Amino acid sequence: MRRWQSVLGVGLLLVAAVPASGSTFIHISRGELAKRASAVVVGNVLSVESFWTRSGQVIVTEAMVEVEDAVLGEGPSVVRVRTFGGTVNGYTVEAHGFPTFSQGERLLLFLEPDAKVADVSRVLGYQEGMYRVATDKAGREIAYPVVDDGAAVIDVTGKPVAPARPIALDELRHEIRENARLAGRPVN
Amino acid sequence: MKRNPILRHAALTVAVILSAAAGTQAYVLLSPRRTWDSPPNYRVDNRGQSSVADGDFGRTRTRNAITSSSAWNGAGTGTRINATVASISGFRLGDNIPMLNFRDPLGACTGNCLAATFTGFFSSRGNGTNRINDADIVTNTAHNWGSTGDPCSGQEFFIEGVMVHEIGHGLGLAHTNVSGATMFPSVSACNNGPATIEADDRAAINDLY
Repeated sequence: MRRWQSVLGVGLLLVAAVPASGSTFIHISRGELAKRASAVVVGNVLSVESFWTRSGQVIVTEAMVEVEDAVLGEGPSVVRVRTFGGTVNGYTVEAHGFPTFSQGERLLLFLEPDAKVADVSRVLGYQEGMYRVATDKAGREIAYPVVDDGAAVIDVTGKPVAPARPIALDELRHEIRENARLAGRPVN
Repeated sequence: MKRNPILRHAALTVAVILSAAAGTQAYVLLSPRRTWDSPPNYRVDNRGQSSVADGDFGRTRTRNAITSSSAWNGAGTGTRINATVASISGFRLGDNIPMLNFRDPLGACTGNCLAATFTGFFSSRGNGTNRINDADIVTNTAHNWGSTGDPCSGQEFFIEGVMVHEIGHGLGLAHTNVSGATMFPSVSACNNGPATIEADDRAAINDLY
């Protein structure tokens, strides 16, 4: 009976894991992200707030991220990272396939300055520029890609691109610095 | 620790059934489930997409594609979407005016973003569904766009197919894993296949409306 329950459990998990929502993005490699990001940080989300922009055009969400490790680039100890979408007073604007933030989560982010708002960053490459960090059973820190099926990620010919795989955080840090070095960028 | 062959066979059967079910019922609705009260009246940006060299910047072809009986309006009985080519000035979410913008006044879809859809909806009606009151689309002009009226260079994305896909999101649909369906998360350059919906897309829209 237990075996049946576990088989059904796995089946239900598979069904529950189906994608949900979408916009269309051209794939950007980690090498390219490391080349173009103004900064790459590992940090914890201290707070998250959603609000209408001053123009009243759209709801945005800002996360305050406490930087624990500046993998690449220089920056403040707390960065303000903005994404599109959020909920205000029971009204939700969903920006399909864009990064989302939750208080308390630990992230590795490829950042770029927001072109419209001073002292605010955005995630470069949308969901491809964001990893959630968690510790596995062996105590290793793993960076998990967060690209969900809200994002249709395609190459320049339109073919779908396989999502990135989870990677040890230390390995990812090393790879980013190597890619930056190859691109001729100063490395921290 | 000898395995029971009957249980093993049964487990395999369950896995096959689940896999088959996923293949035949592949469409996915946006979560939380959301619908319009009545068919949305889209405004298609009358400036058109400047890189489309079909003599009309793709605006009329886009309007025709998203309202075509080969697309969402041909899914079953009744109209799912209306559209007119019109001004999209005053573009904003939440204003009850769904707009298909050939540019990006929000600055949201830059760099590697091709096109982005935003849906605006209120909390549950009480029956577990949410009410969409707005769904706007923005487009990145930095990429190469074409239309079926514009000989394809090999690197262009057809505006009609991409927009029929994005409108699917605006109506409440998510991505499917059925290759060839409009809501499959892929679009090839010079391929307008997504402009024509398939059985999986039809089933999805008829589930919602």
